[in-house]
Amino acid sequence: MQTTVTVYLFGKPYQVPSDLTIMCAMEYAGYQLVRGCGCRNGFCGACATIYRIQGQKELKTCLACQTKVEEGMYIATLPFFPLVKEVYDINTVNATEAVMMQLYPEIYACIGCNACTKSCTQSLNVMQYIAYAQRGEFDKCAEESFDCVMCGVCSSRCPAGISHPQVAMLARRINGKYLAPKSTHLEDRVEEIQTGSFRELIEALMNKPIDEMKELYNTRNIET
Amino acid sequence: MYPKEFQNSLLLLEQAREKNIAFQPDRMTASEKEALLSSYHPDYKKSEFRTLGIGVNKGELLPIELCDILEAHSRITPDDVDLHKIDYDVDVLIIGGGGAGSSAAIEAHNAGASTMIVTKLRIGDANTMMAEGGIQAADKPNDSPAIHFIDAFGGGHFAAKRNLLAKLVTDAPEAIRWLDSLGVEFDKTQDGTMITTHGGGTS
Repeated sequence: MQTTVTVYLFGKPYQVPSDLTIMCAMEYAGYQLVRGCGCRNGFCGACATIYRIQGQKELKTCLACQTKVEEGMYIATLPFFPLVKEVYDINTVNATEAVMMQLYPEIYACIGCNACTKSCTQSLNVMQYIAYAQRGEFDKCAEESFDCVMCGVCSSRCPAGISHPQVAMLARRINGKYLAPKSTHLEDRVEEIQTGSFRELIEALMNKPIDEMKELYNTRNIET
Repeated sequence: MYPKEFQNSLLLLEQAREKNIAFQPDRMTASEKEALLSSYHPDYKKSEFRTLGIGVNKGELLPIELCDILEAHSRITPDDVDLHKIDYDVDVLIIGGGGAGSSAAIEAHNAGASTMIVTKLRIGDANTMMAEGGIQAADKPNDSPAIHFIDAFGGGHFAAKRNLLAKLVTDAPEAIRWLDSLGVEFDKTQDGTMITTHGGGTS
């Protein structure tokens, strides 16, 4: 027989099969998810959720599509969280330590409570990447924050009002544009295309009969 | 930690591991692929198609699910739509806020058009950011836009409009450079060489 558990969706109790995710349990209970539901695979970060198990003190956080229901779960969803996204032009941004002071000065008000790290649905070391951002170590901040899905749970728990995902996004963009090594082969290739190096090769394919195209495709050399 | 069925399945896998490691699969020929696909793949199996009953494409053989959608009642009630009262009036309306939609919005905005994106969730909650494996462009010395052309033409069942495909493959490296200049993080070696990861259909 199917076992069920009692979960509380926005305070109202529902009996749901125990093997469902929180997201499926909401739909089982009759909710039609319009917001707060995207990829259903733990990548888009749209289904941030906060819950507490009845009788326990600890407030827990998760993605609803990635977490199984438990007996006595009190569930509230966080389909949107008002993160602060400062407007900047990546082409003219001051890519030094000072940029964080200019755009996201609140990161220097971090009190080191580590609530962000404890709440991260991706188990990232959030407080550490904010520390890297404070010190202008954008490459390390980029690396440490790379798996962020921008669900916003960290920011919902932050007493300093930091928008961690947006700070990390700026660090990653600075890293991508200014710090990572330049790809000379990419510059070379764009130049080759602009000077018409491939024009003849492409032209030769434009009117080739389909059978010859099939032959080319089916016998092409495939790198391993 | 896994259920019993999973554990049994894992056991079978472990028992077969040595044999699997030693096994070197040959690439399939076009006819072998065709035979396999037509037996198993829903895009190829005849039983997955039926004739569309209504509309401008009436009589065409289409996937059953697509027929079901096209033949279903519309979710929009025409009486609810009054085009005399327009809520938003823009030069460029972009449906979808992923990589393509966002790029289009940036370019349209830069070109001076009033632009609006409609998207279900937040900007970027889309397939682009889930497709973390890679993006195709012939940007390495051992590669060429012509090779990209052949890959994509075959991958598209030889149905592509070739002038559009030519534009795709010759613009692709510049598009990567544009993304690079916007701060998109690509996997690179120390000297800046981008790391190649083969995806489905690449060569």
